[in-house]
Amino acid sequence: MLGGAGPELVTEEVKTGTTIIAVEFNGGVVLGSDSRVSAGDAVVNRVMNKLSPLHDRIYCALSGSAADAQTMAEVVNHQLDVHSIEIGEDPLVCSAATLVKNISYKYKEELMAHLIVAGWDRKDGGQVFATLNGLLTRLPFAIGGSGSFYVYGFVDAEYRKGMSRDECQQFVLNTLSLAMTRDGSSGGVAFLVTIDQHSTEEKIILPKHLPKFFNQ
Amino acid sequence: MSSIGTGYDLSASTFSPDGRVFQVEYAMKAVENSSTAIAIRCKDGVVFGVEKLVLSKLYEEGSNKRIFNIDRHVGMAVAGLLADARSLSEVAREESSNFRMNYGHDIPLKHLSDRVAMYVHAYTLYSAVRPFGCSFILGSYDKDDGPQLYMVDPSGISYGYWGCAIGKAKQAAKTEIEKLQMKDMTCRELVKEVAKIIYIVHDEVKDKAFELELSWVGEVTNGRHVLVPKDVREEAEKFAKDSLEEEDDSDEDNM
Repeated sequence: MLGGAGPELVTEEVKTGTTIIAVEFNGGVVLGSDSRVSAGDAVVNRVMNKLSPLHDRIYCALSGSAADAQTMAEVVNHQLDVHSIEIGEDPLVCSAATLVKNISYKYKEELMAHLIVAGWDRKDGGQVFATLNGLLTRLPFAIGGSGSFYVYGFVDAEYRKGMSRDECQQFVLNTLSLAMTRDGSSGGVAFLVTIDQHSTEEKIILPKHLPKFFNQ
Repeated sequence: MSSIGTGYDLSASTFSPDGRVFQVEYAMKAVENSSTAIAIRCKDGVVFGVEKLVLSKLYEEGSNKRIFNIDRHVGMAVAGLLADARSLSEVAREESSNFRMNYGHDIPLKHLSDRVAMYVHAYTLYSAVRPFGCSFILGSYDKDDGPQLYMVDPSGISYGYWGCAIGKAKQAAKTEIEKLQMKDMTCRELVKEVAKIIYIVHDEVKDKAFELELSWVGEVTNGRHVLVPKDVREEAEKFAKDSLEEEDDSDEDNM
């Protein structure tokens, strides 16, 4: 996750050195991620979508080891499929987050992945959950991945309560752009997913369309 | 009263030639021998009432409860073999607890009812075990989904209800329940009606002493299932006894 110094072995574990973010607005959530997958110093995939669906209105953002994160997302996707059929309705976001947390916590020694779970359900509207290391907490917004360390100051300063859907999308893009510029393990394009009661919208933002700041 | 299933009624794994599983039907008879339990769903909650027959003056008051707490928000009233019912209440508790551990929130009542019904049904499939000899009513209140009421019987089916009754006087109780406009009532109004129905269906001649167990879950209890507080219960019992006296007085005018 943190870029290594000096020559690395060729068979370095594939990490999604990453920037991921999820923000809640009134009526839904916005998730964003970069698209770089690195194995040591090499970029092995520059267009990976790290926003993975768990259910129709629930997505998760992947960071850490690519294999661990993807597998967790697939397992929880399957569990939610079964669960939603058993209860006869769409699952709650907290159910998805609890399932992710249960895997994270039980296998915390073996796995290295952090998933941010965000979505919309009919009981509580838009919700964002962080599941780092097996904890479970609901937050107004969450950031994760190696790139997130560079932008904690930015998000803490810029986040405001009660942002609209468009303002949240802009906030997410600004954050991603800044992190992708400074973090060597984040880059590529930005993926954006906006979830509300009526739809789940996926967008790709090419580098030339990302917001520009100092030094870009 | 019933046809004897000679030879086809020895185990639950045998159908009779006319397509019945007698062991399950006999289990339902065990429920009908027990005293009555009713539950009614109103617009802001669910009220349970049980006619608990007191078999001996030596029993401590309030012992041998027939209303159980399954999870904070779910109550269960039972009729039939009490030991079977207690065992099933543990099953229901485990289901609720596991659901909360896996999914992080209260179990929806329909799902709990489906799961326990599936468990009860499993015991109707094999000759090595006997079916459960009890029916039970599950009720809960949730601020998003409102009040819900489900009943499970020994065959393992579960249905949702606005009002239901199980036990020896279930027919008489159902008739009384059908007279109520429960969708427009609140829990406070309903608790008095439930007490009255139990008093009506209680057979003074055959059964003598009984204790009225009343519990509710709804907006009035903030979604927790609790026994009705003493003052509310006494008011409800007074209302029930007074209504019965009135009906006795006007009996000659009826019919």
